[in-house]
Amino acid sequence: MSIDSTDEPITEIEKDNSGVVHLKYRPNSSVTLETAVKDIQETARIGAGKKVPVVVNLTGLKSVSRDARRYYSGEETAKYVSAAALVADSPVSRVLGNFFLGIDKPPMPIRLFSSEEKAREWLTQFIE
Amino acid sequence: MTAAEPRKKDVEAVSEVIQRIATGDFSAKVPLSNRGDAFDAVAMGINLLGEEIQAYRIEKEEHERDLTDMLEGLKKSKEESEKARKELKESEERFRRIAETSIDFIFQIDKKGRFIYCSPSVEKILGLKPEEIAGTNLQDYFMPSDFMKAFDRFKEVLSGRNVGLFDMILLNNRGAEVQLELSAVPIVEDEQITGLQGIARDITEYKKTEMELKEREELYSSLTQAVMDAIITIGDEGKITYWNEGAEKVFGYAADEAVGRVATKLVVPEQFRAKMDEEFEKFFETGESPLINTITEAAAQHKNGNEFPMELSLAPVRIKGRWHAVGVARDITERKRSEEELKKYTENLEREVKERTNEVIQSEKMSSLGQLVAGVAHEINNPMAYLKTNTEFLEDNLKDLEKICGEKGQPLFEEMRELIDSNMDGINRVTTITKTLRRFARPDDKGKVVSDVNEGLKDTLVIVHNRLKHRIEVHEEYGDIPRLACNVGQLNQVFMNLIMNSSQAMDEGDIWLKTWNDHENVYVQVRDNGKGIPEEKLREVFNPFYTTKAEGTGLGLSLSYRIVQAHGGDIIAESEIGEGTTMTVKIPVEVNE
Repeated sequence: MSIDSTDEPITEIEKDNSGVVHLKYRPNSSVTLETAVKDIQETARIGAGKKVPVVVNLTGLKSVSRDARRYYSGEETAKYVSAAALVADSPVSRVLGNFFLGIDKPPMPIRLFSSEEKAREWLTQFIE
Repeated sequence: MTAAEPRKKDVEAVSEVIQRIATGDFSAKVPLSNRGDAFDAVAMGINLLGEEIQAYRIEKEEHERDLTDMLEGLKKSKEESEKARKELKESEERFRRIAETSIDFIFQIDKKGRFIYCSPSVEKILGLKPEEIAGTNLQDYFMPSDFMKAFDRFKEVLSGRNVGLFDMILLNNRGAEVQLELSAVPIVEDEQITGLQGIARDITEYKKTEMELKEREELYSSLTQAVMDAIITIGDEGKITYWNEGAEKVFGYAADEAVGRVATKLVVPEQFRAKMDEEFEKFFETGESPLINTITEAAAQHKNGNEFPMELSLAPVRIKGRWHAVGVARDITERKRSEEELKKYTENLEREVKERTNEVIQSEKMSSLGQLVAGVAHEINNPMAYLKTNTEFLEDNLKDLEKICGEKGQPLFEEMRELIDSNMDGINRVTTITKTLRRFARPDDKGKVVSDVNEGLKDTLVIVHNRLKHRIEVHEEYGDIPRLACNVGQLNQVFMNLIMNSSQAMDEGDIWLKTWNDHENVYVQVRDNGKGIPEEKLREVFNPFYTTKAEGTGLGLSLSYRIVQAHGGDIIAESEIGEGTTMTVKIPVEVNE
């Protein structure tokens, strides 16, 4: 059964005390454009009109569609996300993260980290 | 086989996908093992690259299509641009030909008023060649007084406002005024107004003609308003199109009441309207009518309903292919009245002349008769004088002869004496008649002399004696009246007329002659007991030529009345049928001895 076919969201989104928003995908998820749009809408809601730094944990992702990548690296995302730290701790997630950095070239500051801690630390500079 | 060594199945899968990608099948994917190992990472990378290449290829194809479309568009745009340029060139050529051949003056000026372009027709209008005008300023050709007005108009044009047609006056190369009618629009380049262009027409001659026409129209208008006659123009359907002040006076309608109404209904009396409508209908169809180009007298109707005679003349005018009538009408009521009065006056005058002529003739007749009578009387008097002397001598001689002859010749002498007496009686009677005749006629009396009217009456009786004797008995009653300063010859004629009229009113009868007087007048009355005159005719007896006698002239009493009037007197006529007639002559006492 496909993850996308269920009504249950595949992304967990929450904001920590420092103001950093965390996005984490369910294992073996395939992210489509629809998921990406919902993720950014939720991020905007949590940010309450302000840009927020976001930690995106790519661990466990099965695939990310090209449309979803384009959306994440597009202007709509840049309106609500001040910087993004990608966390990849597996070969597959690293391929995805590097591909995103090299091919999609998002406009906001973005880096790839191997741990959430380092990622959050880097993002603190972008907290408004 | 270690975990790090690729498995044969995985390698074959990767190899197959790479081959498919190499042949252009970018949808090929390496199935992941879900082990999360390096193989899956490589597979994921290959799959992502395939996706990207496919996306790139699609985008490239799209770009190529877009580029092709853009090139097609550019090509098309270039063709259209070429076409537009060609059309513009043709349009410019057409404009140039129009401008070069136009009789109107086409021009362009910049914002400072300098001529950029002038069509060749400017030479005919301003006497200057286009090349002479190019670069000069419009201001150089203006009448100073007209410049500001034109300047304001040009300013409006330059502000982009539509000012329509307007006039301006320029001066040509000889300094003469040229009136132009023009329209102008701004020249817009790169959305900026850089000047104006326009077309101007020389309307000098037109304006001159228009002015002449206006003056002529004013002159005609003044003339038509000044004349007392009604001047009317009648157009389609017989409706009035012009109505001058004269018409207002003649017919009583103001111009705004009359114009637009049917002329015949307004001014022609109902009984003549159908005939007049028929004439007008014929005229509007053919331009011909018996009423045209003649002067006709016709009945007209005033606003107040009164009919009056008018003199009407109509002339045809053809306007815009249709016949119109110009009518001049004159109220001839006064003229008709004058003509009637003149006619009556002429008739009276003619009657008066006839009367006077007859009176003169009669008077001349009487005068001639008087002279004749006086002459005859005078000629008779002389022989009568010696007849009388000789008869008296014979009478004396007879007495002497009786003494000589004694009784012997008495019978003879007696007869001779009777003859001598008879001769003497005849001589005396002839002498009396001749004297009476001379007194009666008085041919030498040119004016009034103091005379005895009783004597005149008696003399008259002597004259008419033969006409009365044996038939009429005359009763005379002469009063002790004063002598009058009068023309006794004329008065005798009056008396004779009255006595003769009385005698002719009866076969036999009486005539009473009576004279008397009061302090102011002497009265001579002739009364008869004839058949009398009816009352209605009694008033006419003194009218000239009124007579009841077959052989009468009708002038006797008329002449008598005038003679008495000339003496300041009057004749009073009274009559009663079967009783007789009384004529009383009243003459004022002018000189009382």
